Amino acid sequence: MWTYNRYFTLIFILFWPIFTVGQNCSIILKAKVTDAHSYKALNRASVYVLELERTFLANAKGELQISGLCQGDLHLEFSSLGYTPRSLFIKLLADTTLTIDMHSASELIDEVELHGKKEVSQTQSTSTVLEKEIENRGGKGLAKTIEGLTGVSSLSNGAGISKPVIHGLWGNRVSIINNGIAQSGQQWGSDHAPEIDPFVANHISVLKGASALAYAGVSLGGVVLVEQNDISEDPHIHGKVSYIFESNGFGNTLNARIEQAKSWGRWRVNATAKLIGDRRSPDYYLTNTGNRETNIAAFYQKKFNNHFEHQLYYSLFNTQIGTLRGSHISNSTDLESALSRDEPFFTKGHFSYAIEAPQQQVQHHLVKYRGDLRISDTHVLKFRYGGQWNNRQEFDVRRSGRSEFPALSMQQVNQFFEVKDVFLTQSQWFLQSGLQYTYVNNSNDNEATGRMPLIPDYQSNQGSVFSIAKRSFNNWKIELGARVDYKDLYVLSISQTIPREIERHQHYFLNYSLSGGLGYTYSGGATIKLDLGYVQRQPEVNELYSSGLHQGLASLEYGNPNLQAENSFKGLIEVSKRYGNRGFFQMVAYYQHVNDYIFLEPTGTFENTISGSFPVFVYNQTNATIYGSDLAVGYNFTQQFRSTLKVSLLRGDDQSNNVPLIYMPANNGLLKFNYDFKDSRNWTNTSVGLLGKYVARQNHLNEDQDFLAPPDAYFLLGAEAQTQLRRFTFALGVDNMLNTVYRDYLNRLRYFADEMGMNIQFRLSYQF
Amino acid sequence: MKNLSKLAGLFVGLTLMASCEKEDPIIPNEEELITTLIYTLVSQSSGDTVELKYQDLDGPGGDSAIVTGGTLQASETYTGTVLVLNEQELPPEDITEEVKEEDEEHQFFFLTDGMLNATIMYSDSDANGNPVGVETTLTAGSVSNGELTIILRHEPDKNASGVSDGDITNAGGETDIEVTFDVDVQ
Repeated sequence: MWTYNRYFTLIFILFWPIFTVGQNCSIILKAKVTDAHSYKALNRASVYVLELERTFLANAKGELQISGLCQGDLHLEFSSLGYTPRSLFIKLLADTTLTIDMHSASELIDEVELHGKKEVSQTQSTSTVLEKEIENRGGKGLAKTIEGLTGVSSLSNGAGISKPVIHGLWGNRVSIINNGIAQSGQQWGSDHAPEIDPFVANHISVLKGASALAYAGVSLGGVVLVEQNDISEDPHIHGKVSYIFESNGFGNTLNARIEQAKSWGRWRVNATAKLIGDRRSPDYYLTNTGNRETNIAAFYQKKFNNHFEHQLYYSLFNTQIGTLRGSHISNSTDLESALSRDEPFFTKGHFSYAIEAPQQQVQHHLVKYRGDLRISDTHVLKFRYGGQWNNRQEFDVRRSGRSEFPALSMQQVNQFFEVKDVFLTQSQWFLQSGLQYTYVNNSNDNEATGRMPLIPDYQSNQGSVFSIAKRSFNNWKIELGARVDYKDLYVLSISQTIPREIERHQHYFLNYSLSGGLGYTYSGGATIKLDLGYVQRQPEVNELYSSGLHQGLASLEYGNPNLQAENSFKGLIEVSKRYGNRGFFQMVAYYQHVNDYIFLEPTGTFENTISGSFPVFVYNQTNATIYGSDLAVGYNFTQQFRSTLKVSLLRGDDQSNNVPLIYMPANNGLLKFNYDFKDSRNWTNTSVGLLGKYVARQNHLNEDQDFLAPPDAYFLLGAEAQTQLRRFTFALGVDNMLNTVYRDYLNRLRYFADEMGMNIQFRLSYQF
Repeated sequence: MKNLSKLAGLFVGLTLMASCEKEDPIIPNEEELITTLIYTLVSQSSGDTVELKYQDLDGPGGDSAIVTGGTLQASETYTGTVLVLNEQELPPEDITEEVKEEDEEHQFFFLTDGMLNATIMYSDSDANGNPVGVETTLTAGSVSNGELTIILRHEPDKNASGVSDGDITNAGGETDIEVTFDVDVQ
């Protein structure tokens, strides 16, 4: 896209003396907007001209015309529904015609430009959340931002902590790739949210298949890609400042993003500050559920001649999150009495921004370098480094003022190196091969906590090799991939018995993964994709060696050092079709079988400790299957009045024991109506929407598998409205409009408290 | 290709560099740990002493706790004192002191099952006049055999109905200690 941009600048510089003769205010700018792949005209496109503070609409042929322009700078923002917006800066000197190709939102996965063409995966099932949605929902965290996608849900521990679930799998089985680097922290826990600020992203994609083998980390359960656009080549400072207010929790979120292209490189800075207090369920305050965040990210890009491009990225994510006070219980007797209460213990009658124990404080630093060396038009060599430092501290309610000292304090260092070779062969095979190395060092600060650590100290080295080949044959697309990982894990635990001693354990794992994908596009615009993957995942350290008390659920958890790798096979079929302006249809069906699926098994025994008796859970393996279907249908009553229906169905079974799998998302559906108003001279992008979400009861569970029966089905009504007045955007959203009292099966706090009641959000953004 | 081999060399170098030995973790000083609870009962008439003791020196996990019950004389009244220790420290740390310092936030409860014939009354109080339960009076009834459970709650609601009389039902709070002894009344 920017070869084009540069081309124009070049022309203008060359012919500068000719064009600048006399000031001329009758210049005509024409533009034609097309789909980057099909070259189809986008008749719903529009362009906002910053200098004129006006929007111009395309005609039925996707053509735009702006006349009466003077010579000078022009900032243009092209947008079209379902496409990623494009910004363009030009120095206008004479009549000009532009051709703007726009990329559909679903294509934005790790694009590689070869031969002037973007090569994207055509065989994987992908869903994407765009910038507008990120801006409106980003304040709620990464998982809540993407949970509107079919097949994606979130596992949470109150409103402040949630993590994404893809087709029923989460944690160690889902890889989150932040700007090309696999997020590394304490991803094993259900009460640990990914340390990523969604506001840094321009788009967030979810790959549901098992064939994303190019990414470090385990893709057995799917991949979440958090990505940002290249910085524009505009020499002026531009940016956006947004403020979001939430009525529930009196939340305040401020985000600012600025960028500029200078001769020494292009830069972007993104900062977020957040202050949210106690949330409220319809009937009572959820005491100690506030959270705070201060995040900053800096991005630098520089291209040396045409061959070498550098990117440098740094981000700091810094958060403090309170956990519902009434969810901190100490043994099974306490748990029983907490379960039987209408209102959680320790509920206060008033709102507060204060965060007390139990709470967690996390800092996450990421440094990334990416260098792309263009050897020829058909050959690119990519180097990537990612350094991460994660500092997690969790605070419990403790005696004698010890609540100020962390009960858990872990520091993790992760170093990642990658060399990737991207090559287009003469026979049009697109080959991607890479070497990756990941080093992890995890340490507990036992001096600070005065407690035995839940997860031991460990160090691991992983070396990986992968290769992926893609090719198009007429209407067919084919993709094949293979990956081998070798990992050594060195664990230093402390004995459970006294005298306390250091115990050393060494593990080696060798994993193979294979993938294959096939895509076919019918002439009528329908596509069918088949995605098959075989992935091995070695047990992670929490599954092997965790040991101790889980305060939240009054259980004793023990790792199992004898665990073997999981072997997963996943098959997925996606059928989709677009019916011109009338709507679209997309259906995904999948089946996943995991041999030696690792899960936390209740042993049925109780262990007596001085603080009472606790049920004992030990990690074990079984054979599991998960299958389901995601459906998305769009129907446009008119060009302006549109509707979308999304349905996700899923069922998980433990085949060896012939019981359902626990913590599987319940079946759910979402119906949304949207009305877009025609743009006027001042007011643009005006729309209103109404949405209803239904989540069924998780009936596929035996009574003896949980402390409490799954909560009832619920229906939530929401609404949203948005408009733009020149540089200002106003957005209003209402969640849980009917103030429904409900509990969600995937929220761990469901044992203790109701979900949040009505929440009104207001966003004001200023773009400059 | 030359670039590729250079990068491969760098890659191998980094791998070797990072795989150095990891330092041993520090064994924590578990000063908050409670290993032992001793309920000492002294007969008000004879001065005989009965000791109910729960001891789990390595804390949760590891080896099982050692629990010692006791035998009381029927119709006898005893002066009871609870002692809570962390015996991982040397000399053992008296956790009862911590409880007494925060007496408004703590309360011991003494629960008998239906079988044991014994009554326990509080004989101490915090600044608000509510019981703490470090000091008690136990009156043994007729000959019986059953269980006595001693519970220490942190941040209970001492003003809730029945709590100051030793009824735990409405107490809330968190359980720091919950131990059960076999007791004979002869």
